[in-house]
Amino acid sequence: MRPALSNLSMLALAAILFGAGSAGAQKPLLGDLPSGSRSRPVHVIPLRDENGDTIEPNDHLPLPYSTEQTCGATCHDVQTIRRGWHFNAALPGVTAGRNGEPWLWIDTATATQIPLSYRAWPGTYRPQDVGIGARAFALRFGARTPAPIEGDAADSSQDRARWNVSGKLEANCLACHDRSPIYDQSEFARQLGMENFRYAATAASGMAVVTGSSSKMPGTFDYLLPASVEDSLQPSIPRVHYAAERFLTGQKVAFDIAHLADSNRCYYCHTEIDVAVSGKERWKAGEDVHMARGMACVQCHSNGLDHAITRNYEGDPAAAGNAFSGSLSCRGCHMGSANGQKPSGPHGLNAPYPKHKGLPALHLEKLSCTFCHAGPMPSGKTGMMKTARAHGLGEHNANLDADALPHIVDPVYAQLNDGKLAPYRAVWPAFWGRMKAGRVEPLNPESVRRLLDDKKLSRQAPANGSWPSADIAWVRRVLQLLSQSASGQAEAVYIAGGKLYRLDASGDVKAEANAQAEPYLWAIGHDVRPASQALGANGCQDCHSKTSPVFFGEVQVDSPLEQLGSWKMNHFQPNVDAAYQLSLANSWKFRIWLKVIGSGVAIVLLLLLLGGAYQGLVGLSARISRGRQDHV
Amino acid sequence: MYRTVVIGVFATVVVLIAADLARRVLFRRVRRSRREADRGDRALRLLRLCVNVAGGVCLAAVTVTGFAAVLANAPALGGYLLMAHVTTAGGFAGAALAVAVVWVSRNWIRQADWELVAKGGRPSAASVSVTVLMRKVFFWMALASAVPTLATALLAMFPLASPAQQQVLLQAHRISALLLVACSVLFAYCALAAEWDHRGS
Repeated sequence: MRPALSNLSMLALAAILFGAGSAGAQKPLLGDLPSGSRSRPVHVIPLRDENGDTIEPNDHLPLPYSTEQTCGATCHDVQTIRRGWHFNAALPGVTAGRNGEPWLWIDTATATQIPLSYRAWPGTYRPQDVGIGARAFALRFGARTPAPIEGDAADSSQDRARWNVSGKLEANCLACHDRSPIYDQSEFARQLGMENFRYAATAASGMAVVTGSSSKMPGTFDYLLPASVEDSLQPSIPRVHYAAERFLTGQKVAFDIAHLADSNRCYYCHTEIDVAVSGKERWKAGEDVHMARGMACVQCHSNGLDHAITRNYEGDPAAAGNAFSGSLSCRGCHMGSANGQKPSGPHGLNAPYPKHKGLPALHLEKLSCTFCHAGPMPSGKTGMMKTARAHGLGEHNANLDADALPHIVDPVYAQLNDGKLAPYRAVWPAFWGRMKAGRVEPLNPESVRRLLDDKKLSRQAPANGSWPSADIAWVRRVLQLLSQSASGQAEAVYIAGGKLYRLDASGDVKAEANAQAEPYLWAIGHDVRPASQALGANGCQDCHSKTSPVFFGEVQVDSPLEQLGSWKMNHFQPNVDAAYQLSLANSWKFRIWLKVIGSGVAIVLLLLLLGGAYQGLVGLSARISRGRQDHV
Repeated sequence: MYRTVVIGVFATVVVLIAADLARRVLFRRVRRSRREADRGDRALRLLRLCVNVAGGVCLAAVTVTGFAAVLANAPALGGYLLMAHVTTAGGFAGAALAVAVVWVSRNWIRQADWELVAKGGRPSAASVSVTVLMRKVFFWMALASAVPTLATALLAMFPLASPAQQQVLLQAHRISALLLVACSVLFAYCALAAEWDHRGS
């Protein structure tokens, strides 16, 4: 009887558990079920390791906590969240939307600056197509994304083995939602530099101090059996030292979690700054008008549980069919609905309705709002800027030199997909590749580097982190080397500064135009300037003059080779007639005459009209009173 | 809609002129018009001729540049055509002023004109001819439509109107300009017809 009862009990228990599990998949988890309260939920919770076990800080060798397990075990649907915008770049079937900021892979030794994106935006390259595996990507960029990064097919066999040592990089909820002043994403970056992937979030949170480095561990290292490594490596074994004072009764800790991410968290990855005001001159830099007025990033860039954060440009496919998401664009907030109603703004912000006095309506059709209101004020030539993601701003080892690579130029006034003129940032690609079926396929920068190292052709990185010294003779030698190293393979080429370099029949380097050499552009959304600082605030001639930077400005060409000058802004404006714009600019000086003459004529004509009316009335009066005058 | 109205108005003007010409040719009902005023000396007559020709040329230029896009069913007046329109509009404004100054004294509505109106268009010895009366009417109508035509264009050049308000100004400009062109053409025709009447007497 006993075994039978036991079996039945087990079956019943399994049925209950299975049923509960099924029901759990249907219903929102505890933390995803809105209570309706506007107060912030308190997060006093146990820490869990990556196996879901509760962490005891007094254990002999406590493990780092897992964000996905700690947040997702019972409270938040991490699997749904992992399909959100910040996490889904590498997932198949995700709509890429308009071009965004790429990941810029820099290698000064090979004079490489190549835009990468898992989203395959036109002009970027998928990391795996350049032979860059997930591990190399995580080591280079992992600190500036909350996305989970796990091994992929592009990882080398050596890298595949290293995942077990370092652990995978989990979705880091705290990167956005931890409001604690001691949460330190730069510590996260430092831990990644030591390949402490599974320890990075723990170290960043301030819950613990992490010592040691996975990068020093052999490929056979098992983090659950740290004693297995040789004695000389014992001091370098990654260890977690939890702060005992952070643990409350029941081994729980208090997280300062904000449902709406603090802007300070966004800034860690999304700071963008003009090099002229970076570093020591930061105090002179302005701020987005919305932030200066006390708004937060998430008031516009919002999302639900799906974490499909709105990008807020018109035509965003992610906002299709969602009227509220659509209302979060510039026009949605400031211009109101299509029927001309004044906006009330989401969140009751009562966004000011722009007066645009004197602005012909045509401008609202041909220009994006950002054309006049976003990015740095244009001058005759584009400037250089830095972004947190490209330059590691805020990280311990970031190169603060103004010339540090990558070189991003802005503002470039261009017409892309929607045909509207808008300001863009641009990066000039520079990489080695091979011509295949008329297209350049980039070579893995690491492979090229090893090849150049062998032949002592690698370039020495300058201290300022800018381009190394390189010339056409060096390009020729490298192209010859690449041709020899893989005879019979496709032709080796080099792309830089808007040109494609290849060897001609005589062995000389020939430079030619190529679409893949054109700069990669992505739209400038911020900083938004108020009306008083917008283009046009000083009058029409901000744009309609012979020296107008938006039509006749120059885009600085960036190249490791010789200075190649600049490209005309009009190159990026296929539907703008430069000759017409010049004629219009030239005609502008006559506009004041037109105003004066026209006003004078209108006044005189009005006086004549009044005189005519007077005369007509006199004549009418005479006609009516004819024959009556004798009686007067 | 506006294109249909423009075509309708232009067609109406052409029909009116053609009908009057046909009437004049077929029925030869030439009415001697009263000499309105001293024609002045030769230099002044030459000046008047120049003003009239300049006015006609500028009217033609501004009409062609202004209505070409509408008649060609283009989405909007823009580009070089708009630049040409604005350039000719400046000349037209000057010419319109000159024409107005030259013609205003001959187009005052006087008691004699009201006589003709009171008699239902049947001229008497004391009244002017119907052609002259119509010339005066179209002169003042052209003048009355020239003011808003100019004013709406000028207001749009100052930082006063929002884009939506500018659209209203543009519509007002288009309507008053259409009226201006129609009245100007009819005024010119009536002026010529009155001259023919006078010479035929």
